[in-house]
Amino acid sequence: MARGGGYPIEEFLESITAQLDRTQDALRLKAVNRPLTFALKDFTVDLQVFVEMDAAGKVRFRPAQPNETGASTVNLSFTTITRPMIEENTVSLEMTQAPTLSELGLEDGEKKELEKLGVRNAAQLRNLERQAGEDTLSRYSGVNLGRIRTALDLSRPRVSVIDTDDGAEEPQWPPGAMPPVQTSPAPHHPAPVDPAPVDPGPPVQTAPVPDPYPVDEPKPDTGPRIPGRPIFDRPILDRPGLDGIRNPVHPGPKAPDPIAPPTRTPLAPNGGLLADRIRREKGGPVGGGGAAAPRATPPQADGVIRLKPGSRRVNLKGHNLIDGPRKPRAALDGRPLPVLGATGASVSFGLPEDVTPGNLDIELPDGRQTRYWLDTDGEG
Amino acid sequence: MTWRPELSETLTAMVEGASPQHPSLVVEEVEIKAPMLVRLEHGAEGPRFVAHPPHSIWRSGFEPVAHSMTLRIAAADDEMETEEETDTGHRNGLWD
Repeated sequence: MARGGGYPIEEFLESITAQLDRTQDALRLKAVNRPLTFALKDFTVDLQVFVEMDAAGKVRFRPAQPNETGASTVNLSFTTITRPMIEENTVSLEMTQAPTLSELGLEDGEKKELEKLGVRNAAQLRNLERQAGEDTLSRYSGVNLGRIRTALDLSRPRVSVIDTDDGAEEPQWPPGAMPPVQTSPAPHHPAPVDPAPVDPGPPVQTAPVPDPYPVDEPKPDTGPRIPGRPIFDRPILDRPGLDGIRNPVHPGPKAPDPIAPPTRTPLAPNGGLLADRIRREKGGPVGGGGAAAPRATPPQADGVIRLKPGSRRVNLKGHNLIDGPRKPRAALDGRPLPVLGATGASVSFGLPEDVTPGNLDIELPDGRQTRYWLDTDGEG
Repeated sequence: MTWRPELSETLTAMVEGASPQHPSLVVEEVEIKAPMLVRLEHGAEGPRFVAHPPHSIWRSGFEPVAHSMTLRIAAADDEMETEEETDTGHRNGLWD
């Protein structure tokens, strides 16, 4: 390392920092049994080095050899800073959870060019693309536009499985790891939840995706649907009655439903078809209860999620589900659902205790929105 | 083979030397300026930053170049650190 070519400046600085941390830890341990202890305040070192740059563009320090003149003096000063100063001057932890540029398939040269623009992972790449556009990103970095687009596409959040559980067991997955594989249910044990068909793409589909509209059921006329096309003109949280997950404004009492046309029936206030609501009030079977009663499937939903009794959470599993500080958001019939936990591979939303069938709107960090029909009449 | 201490060992020893165990003597702040031989080596757990004072004060003309180092240490104030952590927690909304 030090022989001949010197050592990279990053390794050098990181090594000193690690050593200073170790010293502080040792001094803190001494404080356990001693009334007075010391802490490092400043550490300064004047290095006599030759600053060189290797073929790969890395800056290296080569210490001056005996009797070697003309060395530069590099003055390094380390001082203690407070936690708020660290937060102000470093990248947030959320940003560091994003996939690296290598995971997006970029080569070393391309990575280096992007690093010059301050882009070191997928979240930073998307952030810069949002601010400057992919054309500008390509022009300033010198990376082929097609490669930029491919990397951006791979960095998009993708949902591969949506399921529910009762919240009794916390999912424990290491950061960046794939969620456990869901096995197909036995033929005579219907699955409690239909994993909804979601964004097509490279991620592995861990569970079979049944047709939300079986063959024996008439498919509602939903018109041509482009995968990934936003359902709403505005983000979920910009819709009336909502001002954000943290400060939800619950809509007030709703007016009675208008009489619905026979084909495209509007949803009841608490979700579901109007006909289902009438049946429910009469105590009869609601959607999917038998051959004579077709399952209630809203015309606008992209899929159906069936809740088994006692479900308290909706879990999204996939890739890149966190984009820096942005997390997926969900709303059930317009009411935001709290995020119980979020990693790049999974996000859990809490369900209200009195959950009723309704539209589950999910907005991914990149703004794409998908609507599912949350069906509480599924078999447990 | 000569023992080449890492920077943390050298600094800890310096702090230890600057804080005498004396009932009526209290050192509140210390500033040490010393020459230091510095070298980055490969270790079993990654790079080792070796740093220690020169072995001799005599100049022979072929000894390694000694770099100048300044270390300032002060008595630790535990209360200040606790307050900072509390403020940070409130600012991040951890227990708002």
